[in-house]
Amino acid sequence: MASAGSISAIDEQAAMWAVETAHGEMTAETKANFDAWLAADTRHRGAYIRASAWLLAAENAVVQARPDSAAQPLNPRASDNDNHAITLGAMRRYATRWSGRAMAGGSAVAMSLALLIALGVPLPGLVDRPDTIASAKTVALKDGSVATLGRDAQIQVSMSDGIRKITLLSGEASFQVAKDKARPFVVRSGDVYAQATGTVYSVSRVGLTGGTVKVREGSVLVWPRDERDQAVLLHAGGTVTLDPGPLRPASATPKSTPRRLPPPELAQISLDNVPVRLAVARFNRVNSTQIILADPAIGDVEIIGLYRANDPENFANAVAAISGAQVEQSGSNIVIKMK
Amino acid sequence: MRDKNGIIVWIAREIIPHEGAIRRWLTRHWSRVVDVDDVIQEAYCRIANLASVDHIDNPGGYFHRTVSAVATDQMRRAGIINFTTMTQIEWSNVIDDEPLADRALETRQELDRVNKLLGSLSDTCRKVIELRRVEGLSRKETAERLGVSENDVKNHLVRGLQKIMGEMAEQDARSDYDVLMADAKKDRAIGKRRLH
Repeated sequence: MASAGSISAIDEQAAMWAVETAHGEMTAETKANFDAWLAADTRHRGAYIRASAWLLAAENAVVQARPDSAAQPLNPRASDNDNHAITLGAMRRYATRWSGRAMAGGSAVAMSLALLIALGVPLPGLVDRPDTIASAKTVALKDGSVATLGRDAQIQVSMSDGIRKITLLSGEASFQVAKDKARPFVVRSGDVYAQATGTVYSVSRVGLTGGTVKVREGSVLVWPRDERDQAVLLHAGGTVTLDPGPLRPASATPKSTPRRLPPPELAQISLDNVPVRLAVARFNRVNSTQIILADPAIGDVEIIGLYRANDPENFANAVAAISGAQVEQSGSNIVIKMK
Repeated sequence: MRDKNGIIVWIAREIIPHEGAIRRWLTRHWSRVVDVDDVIQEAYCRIANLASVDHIDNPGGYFHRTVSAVATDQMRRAGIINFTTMTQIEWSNVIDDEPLADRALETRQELDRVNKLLGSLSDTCRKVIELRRVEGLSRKETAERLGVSENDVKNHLVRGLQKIMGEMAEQDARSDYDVLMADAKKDRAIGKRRLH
């Protein structure tokens, strides 16, 4: 249970932006930061709208609490804490009146909201709910774990003394993994692997070779192909999509050629709340241009986005933008350091 | 321009008073399968994207249905089992089935609750809001009047808003504690039976 009175980091940021957009005179730079924040996570838009609405509700109540809400010289009252009960009707009247007034703060909200709408959040049908999950089923595995298969999901299970191997052939499945430290539980989706010992997570197929891993509890190691040493550690709430792309012409049989990395231009790296230092390690592994973090604190910042694996510069710029750092060329390498 | 501003005004007036009740309902029934904060946030997002709210004559019920739809989508994506049965039971319990009189009473109770939350704003925070909203001062002028920096003005508002949102979540967590304990007991009882 969350500690008393604490709110999530997203809500904290959303509150900051709600105040900034409603009460601040935004500079171009602040506006750009706001846009970047909105784009960084799909949840940010909703959190921002909610915080903006709470801010407005708070303001309405404060203004309404005044004995006479018409403009008058400020008369701070020291003990008015029990004097602000308002009725629904009064709140309604006030809000209506205010909405007709053109205020600087109001138009800032309007502007940012127009931006939200331009960003185009899809609006799924609110009424029709086809019963697609009817075909979902639960499978109890021999080790005590439970697999829940989504529609069209197919899995292959292979349990041995040293390892529990699940292959996701199609669709999406989530796993409640029974704790067994001696036998890692590895789910394979195409060429993407997700390993846990005891946790809850789901895996879905992406294309021929990829997979999306979502962690609900505990943490999960995710890596493509033989890059286990470069695995990303995902914690509860984290999601990662990896699609390493085809290894070779599809006609080749899996065992006829040795495993190797895909050509860098085919690979995309998708990061969702992954610490920069892990992301940098992945880029450095596939590129001759190395990214160097001059300040370790930058490595702890979490990053989100889809990047071409062969374009470390683009990725470095994104890192600089979210961590407030700057990018410098140093020979053939890229240095990210604090301003 | 006015319309898009209007949606936030509308949400502040019609949806915010219901958030506590919806959040408690969501926490009680679904917190183990969905992230409550995520669902609420996405519901706000969907409502803000509506082209018009003129057709909504029961905002509380509409908010409830939106939250249900978001939760359903999240569960479907996560491949949760048996949710058809679960949702059928839940859906029969929507707010807009209740008589109008009860609904009005509930709205008033929620508003009282929201007002209590707002009472926890610091005096400075209230002054900042009054100066800006009533006297129409800019952030700079507000700062000068109160003898603090512009950044302080902003921080007072941000902290006030964060406090309200935090207390909101805390109240809901507390009221759900007993329910969670009862559920935990039930789980243990089921576990025992399974041993046979």
